[in-house]
Amino acid sequence: MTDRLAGPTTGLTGFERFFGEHHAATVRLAHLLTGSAAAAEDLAQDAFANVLPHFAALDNPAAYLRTATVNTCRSWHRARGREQDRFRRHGTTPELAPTAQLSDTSADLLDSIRRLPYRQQAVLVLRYWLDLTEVDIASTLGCRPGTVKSLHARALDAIRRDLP
Amino acid sequence: MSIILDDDRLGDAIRDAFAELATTTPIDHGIAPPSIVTDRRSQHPGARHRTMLAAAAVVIALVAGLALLTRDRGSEVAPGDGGLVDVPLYLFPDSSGPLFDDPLAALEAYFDDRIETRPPDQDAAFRVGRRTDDGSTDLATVEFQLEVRRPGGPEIVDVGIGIAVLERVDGSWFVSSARTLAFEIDRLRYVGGGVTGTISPTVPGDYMVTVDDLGWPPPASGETGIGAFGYAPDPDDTTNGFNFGSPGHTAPAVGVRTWGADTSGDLPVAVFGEVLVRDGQTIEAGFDVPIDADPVIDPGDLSSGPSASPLEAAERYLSDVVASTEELTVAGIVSDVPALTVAPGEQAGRWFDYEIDRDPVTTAPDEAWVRFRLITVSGDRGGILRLVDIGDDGRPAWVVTEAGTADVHVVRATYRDGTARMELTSGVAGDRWVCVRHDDPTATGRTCEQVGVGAGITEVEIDVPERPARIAVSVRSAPEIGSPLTPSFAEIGLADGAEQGRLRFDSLLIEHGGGEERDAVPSLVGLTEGQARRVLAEGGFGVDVSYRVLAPGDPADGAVIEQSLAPGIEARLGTAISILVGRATPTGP
Repeated sequence: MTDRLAGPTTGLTGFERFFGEHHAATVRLAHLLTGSAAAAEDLAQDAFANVLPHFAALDNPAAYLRTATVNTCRSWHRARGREQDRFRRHGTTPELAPTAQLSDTSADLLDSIRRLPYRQQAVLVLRYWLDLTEVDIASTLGCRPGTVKSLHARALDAIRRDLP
Repeated sequence: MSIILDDDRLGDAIRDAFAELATTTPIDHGIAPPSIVTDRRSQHPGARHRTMLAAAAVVIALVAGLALLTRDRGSEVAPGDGGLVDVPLYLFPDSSGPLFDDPLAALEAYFDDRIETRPPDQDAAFRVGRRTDDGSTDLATVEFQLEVRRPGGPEIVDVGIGIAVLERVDGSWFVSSARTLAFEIDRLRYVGGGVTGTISPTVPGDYMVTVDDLGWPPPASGETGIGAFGYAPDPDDTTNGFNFGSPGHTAPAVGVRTWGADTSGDLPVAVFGEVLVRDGQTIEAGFDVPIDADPVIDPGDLSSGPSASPLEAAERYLSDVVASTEELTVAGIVSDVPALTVAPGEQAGRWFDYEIDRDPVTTAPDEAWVRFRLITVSGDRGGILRLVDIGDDGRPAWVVTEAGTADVHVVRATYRDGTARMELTSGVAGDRWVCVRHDDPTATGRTCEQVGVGAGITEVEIDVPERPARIAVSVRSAPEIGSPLTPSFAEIGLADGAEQGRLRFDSLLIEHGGGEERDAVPSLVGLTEGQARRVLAEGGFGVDVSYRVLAPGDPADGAVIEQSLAPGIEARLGTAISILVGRATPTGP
């Protein structure tokens, strides 16, 4: 199992080193959690900025960064949801970010995942991208492992119903 | 794509899709990490200022400007602003890196610096409230309250409530603007003289104060009506916020301010009333405010188009109102005035959000009513929308045709002793939003249901404290569904025994108007949390504790770092004093 956002957390020589080790992975995680390549870089920076004040006192800054990234992306989704609501009220359809050049199968799947509630999206990303266990996912999302299991099952059911 | 029924195969497909998408993620390998966050509050002010030398000229200019503004009541954050006066942006000298990762901390520092720039004889305090936005990562709105004790003349404590807008730039929060929405004159204290006060409109949207028989020293040459606080809506008026009275005034009986009138005079005018307190006795003074104001929000021009349902139309309409309206219409707050009616509206403020009753009432196939509540930083405001289906091709096309808002009705009654009882007629709209508060801490903020008064309940029982007290009852009424849009209300009777009155209300505020006691706020900074709690309890104040995370080993660990009201400021007993306690413990993300 590959922990794509773990990396060496001991013997850190400083925040800059930590940033260098985790920056690319954090941007990718933000990209997968939001579907927005344009926003990913900024969201990753926000997540690192959230880690920074506590960095020296953290036992596991990578885990902290992971949670900060998930929370930051959740805020992004909320803000985007409000924006889309306003568009809809005024009779216009919000434009979605252009999908990257992907295979049809991946594009369909990702479109379906984007329509899930954020927590379900996050569970899928943490499980299938970061290969986290249910316990670690629960810790990241701040919920019980049973909730993770439930969110995962509902997400898969919804995708099955949604796929063409 | 074929349907994938098996969890494992679907999981593999998701894994592959994520991996494929991740290959498209643009990575800027040259980007620098965020800079170290500096908690300016943990530094000594002198040290902090030394770090500002690089931008000293900018800061000095701002400080000088602020000092000038402080003396200019026409433009500073002082009574008469009528709110909506931009406070200059405080420019932090170091914009290269984040200073604050929390908008509340950024706003605290902002006011802290502003307070420091005030003249030494102007005591002031601030209190940063809660965020009023939804937790955006780049834009925040935060409530605040300012208190300013003005020197000379009457002893006045101004309390301003406002909203600050903060933006996050390069990972740090900055104050981009701060505006007061309403500035109350909390207290006037004077000596001598009977008081009568009248207010008469002179021109549409403008009111003048005429106050007779005042006991203050006559105004100095060139001054008129010192202490007569009235505020013209014209910001270019040099008398705005000061000297509103006509020659001959020696002191005010009432403080009055007006705002909200636009150049056409179409908008109603907000009026703020105050009473004077002399030697602890409430002067039996008051005034009537004749306002011929339109109680109806302009439903607008239907530019957003008809909707498929009444609820959708209501949502669109209120969304537009909230998005486009900065200033409410009419205000009226009066304490201890025998009888005052101000209609319509309540405290002016900026609308930020709304709630609607999800159960529209249909009174005809093409007519429906939707109740709503506008939520402002300074209070809520109930109302009702009338919607009509104008579709003529068989398809529904609902539009808002009328929008009525709430009234304010203030009544005062005198109690001697015993238990007061008030009977309210049931069966009215708005009862789901009923709430009751009085100065009994156990009941403050509780809903009617919690104190035994619920929807359809016809009786409110109030336990009067042991000492004789006056109890003021203010009732904010909302139009009943299906009723005429000009809200009606009835007198509320309050006396020994019981009186009855018909009510349509969405909130009920009960407060003691007499026997108010104040005391100076004790000094708390440096005490432990327990010591501060004890001192406040012994002094008759409440306490509201929050914590700030400090670096391990910080000497302020466990100690009170800040208090919401400055030591020495007199506050009502029972007021909750907020204290900020340092804790050297990291928190979660």
